[in-house]
Amino acid sequence: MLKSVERLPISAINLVLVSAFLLGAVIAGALGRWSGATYLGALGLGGLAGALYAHRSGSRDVTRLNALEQRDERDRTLAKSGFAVVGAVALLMVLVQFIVAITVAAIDSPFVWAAITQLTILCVVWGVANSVVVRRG
Amino acid sequence: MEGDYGVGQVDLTLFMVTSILVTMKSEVCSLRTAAGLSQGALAAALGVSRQTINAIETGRYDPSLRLAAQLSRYFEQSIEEIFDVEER
Repeated sequence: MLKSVERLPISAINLVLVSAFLLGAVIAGALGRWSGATYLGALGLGGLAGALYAHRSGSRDVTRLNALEQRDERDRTLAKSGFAVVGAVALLMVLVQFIVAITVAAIDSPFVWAAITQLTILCVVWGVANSVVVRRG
Repeated sequence: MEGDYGVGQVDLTLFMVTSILVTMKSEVCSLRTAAGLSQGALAAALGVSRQTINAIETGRYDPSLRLAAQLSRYFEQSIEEIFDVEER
């Protein structure tokens, strides 16, 4: 999914992200929300600059990983390891948040429902991801 | 049953033990040097990054079968001649 498309100067995922930010900036501008448009535009252009910087031939591997500009199989393997850590930390944090929410807040409060929703989504994504990777071998 | 290990648990344990006890030694560095190539030049020829070649040469990264086959074809040597799995 994160493979660079041969003719593009940045990876496909960065193309999607930069496009989303710039499209958001245009829509915010059209709605007259200039601070939002400026913020999204700056994020889009900053992301584009970062992706172009990471995509150049002499870039460091950690720069490419941080900018989602994976070049080869080692980059993809390293990125998977990095994302796995992010996923494990996210699961742990959401679990702690869930326990704290249940302990300190009323059961029908938005805080509790947000924690339940986040925990449920992450667990479902984890289960689906496990099924997919097992099927792919 | 309590105390039993599932297949996944056994696989993970085997993988971890194998990772600790087995290391891949490669001849990539000597072959590259003999061919008068820099790491960057070999990387460009194989379509990977210079860091990947460096990581293979220093034993920090085991290439996929595909990349090992590419190296084998490039240097006209068998995979077994380039890579040697040895126990520590």
